[in-house]
Amino acid sequence: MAVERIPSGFLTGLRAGDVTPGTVQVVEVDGRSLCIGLTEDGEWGAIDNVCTHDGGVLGEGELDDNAVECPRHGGRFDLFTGRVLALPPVRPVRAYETRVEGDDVVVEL
Amino acid sequence: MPVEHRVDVLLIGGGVASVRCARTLRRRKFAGSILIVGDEAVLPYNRPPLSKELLRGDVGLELIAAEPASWYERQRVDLLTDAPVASLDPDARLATMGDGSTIRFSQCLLATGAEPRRLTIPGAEHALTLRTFADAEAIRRAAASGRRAVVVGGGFIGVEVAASLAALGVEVTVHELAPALWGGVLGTTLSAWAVGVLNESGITVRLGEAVSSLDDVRADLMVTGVGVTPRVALAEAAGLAVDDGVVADAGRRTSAPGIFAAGDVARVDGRRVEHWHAAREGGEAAALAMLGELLPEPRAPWVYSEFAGHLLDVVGWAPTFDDELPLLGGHVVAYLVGRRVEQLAIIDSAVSVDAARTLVAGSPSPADVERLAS
Repeated sequence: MAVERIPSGFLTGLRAGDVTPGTVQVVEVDGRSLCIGLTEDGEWGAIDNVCTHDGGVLGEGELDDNAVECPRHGGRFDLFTGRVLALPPVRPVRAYETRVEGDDVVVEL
Repeated sequence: MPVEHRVDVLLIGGGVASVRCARTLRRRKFAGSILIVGDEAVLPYNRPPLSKELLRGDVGLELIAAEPASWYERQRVDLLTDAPVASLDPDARLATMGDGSTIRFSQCLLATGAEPRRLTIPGAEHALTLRTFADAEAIRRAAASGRRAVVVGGGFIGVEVAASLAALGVEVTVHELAPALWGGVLGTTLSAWAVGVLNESGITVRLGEAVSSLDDVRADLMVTGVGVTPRVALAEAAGLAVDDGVVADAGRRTSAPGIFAAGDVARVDGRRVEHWHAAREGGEAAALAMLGELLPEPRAPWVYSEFAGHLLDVVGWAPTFDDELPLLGGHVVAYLVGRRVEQLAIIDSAVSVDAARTLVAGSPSPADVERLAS
């Protein structure tokens, strides 16, 4: 799928209805692997997809409130800031502003 | 008159199994009341960091909490800390607390965990053990002013504690009774690698030597890590089937209807796996069974350890094996029963641990394991 740069960000290829509230999923944007999520409260967020502890795939983990949980060892990151919320990781991941434009999910890289 | 409470689901034990059970119940839209009772004074927390990040640095409890403090209110999960259960009546579905109050429940999870075995040799009373947050803090305090440490027991906890103490600049000697680390259950190949890693960190490892006394040991700090005993007293007194743990099936159902068991205290289908993953998966399985939902396919056991900058994953189950075979340049060790691989040790995520876990459940050949690399 061609990734399109639109004036205000990158199209993720996801439509707003593609993601179930309270879940995260993996999406590739401009060669970067992201963990993109939609909270139960309807807020979108995206962080780098790779856990800084041992490379776990965050987009295959669980989302609870704003916390993304790595499926490997249970490390948790804030979906909106990338901050570590639970060990074992100690280094944060990068976070990307995410929003819906029209029906498209767009991230700022 | 003593207070009587009534809940739909009572989770006994303030650890990961209970929290994971509650979390799964709520994620599955269970609307009934949930109460966790634990006998520690703090919020339920993950124990793996106790021997690692928490020993090495000043990490607050909030970073190891199983769920943040706000979660309990948000998810309507009640929590009683510092609240030991005195007895359990499975027929009446009634728990009596240490303070005499009673809790009636519809379903109950026993997740009372395990406690460190204590050595009975002279001087052992001066040694510390590691199980709780408070234990970890005590070891860290002693390490801050100590120069020499002796660790008795070269199992998962002993190896991790030794590596963390060495990272703090403490001179450490590890004593393991068996001729190989981990009591020999992971063979000699992996042990030889780990001894090398520990030696490089400045740790002295003594294998195959019994420690007969700790009285004459010249050390500022002694830690014993010689295994744990499941805390089965409550279950035993309640008349549940107990055999090195509370006997449970894949749905963590015990011999008493409505009573489930998970985590370190549970012996599930003949195996008691003392590990964080097993506690989480056990809590989740119990929640599904409580709801009458389909259980996931059982997966091979998975434990991990982390020391001196290395990550070790062990998947599968081979308490005894016929042969151990280094594969993939020595980064994976296969444990063979007959000609089939029943367990794999993986160093530093050399192959996908999840894929290895799936593969090993089917008793693969060594060649199948080699193919994991691609």
